[in-house]
Amino acid sequence: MTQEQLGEIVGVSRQSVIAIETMKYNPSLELAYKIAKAFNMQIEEVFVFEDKEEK
Amino acid sequence: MVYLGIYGGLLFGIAGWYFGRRNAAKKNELDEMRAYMSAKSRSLSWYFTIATIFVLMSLEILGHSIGTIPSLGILLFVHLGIWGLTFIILQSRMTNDPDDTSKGKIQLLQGIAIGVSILIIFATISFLTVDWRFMLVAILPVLLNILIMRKKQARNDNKAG
Repeated sequence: MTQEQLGEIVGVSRQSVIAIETMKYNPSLELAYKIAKAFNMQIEEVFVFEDKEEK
Repeated sequence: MVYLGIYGGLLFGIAGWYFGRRNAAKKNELDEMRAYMSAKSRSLSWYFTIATIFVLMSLEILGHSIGTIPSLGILLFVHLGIWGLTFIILQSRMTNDPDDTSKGKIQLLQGIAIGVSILIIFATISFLTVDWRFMLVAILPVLLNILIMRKKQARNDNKAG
């Protein structure tokens, strides 16, 4: 799945997908849930909580 | 002329805002990250607006009264200008695609846009206040912008090489 396709499925831009991938933006719980659902996975399988601030 | 400036500016501003949002909506760009960037840049622009208010107050105390309308014009330019600039900077920092080879060109264009915006802002202030010395203030931010651009360019060249 491309960044563009994922963006279309969850309703965000490709730039937002890039920012989430490169850990420059922390998505909301709702968006994180949508992304996990797009991959048919649980949120904790896609996102790992790290106790550090955004870049 | 004054009416043209005020209402023409308002009309162009609203049209730019409307068509910008319409185009962004087509590309799914009106998402939560955009809302976050917009709120953050607006918050930052308020710090600069507060600083400008203090500068204008200091000028008034020192006997260099600019007048109400030019002061409001300067505040509007500073607020909207810094809002736009910080939004562009934030966007370029957050949406930096590591695989994109055209990144250097985009950064160069953004740097030029920032430099030109700074010059326009200070030229407008100079025009409004009929004091060319405001143009001298633009030298430092423009030089800083050039230095940052050169540093980024060198970093990109190192990565490519």
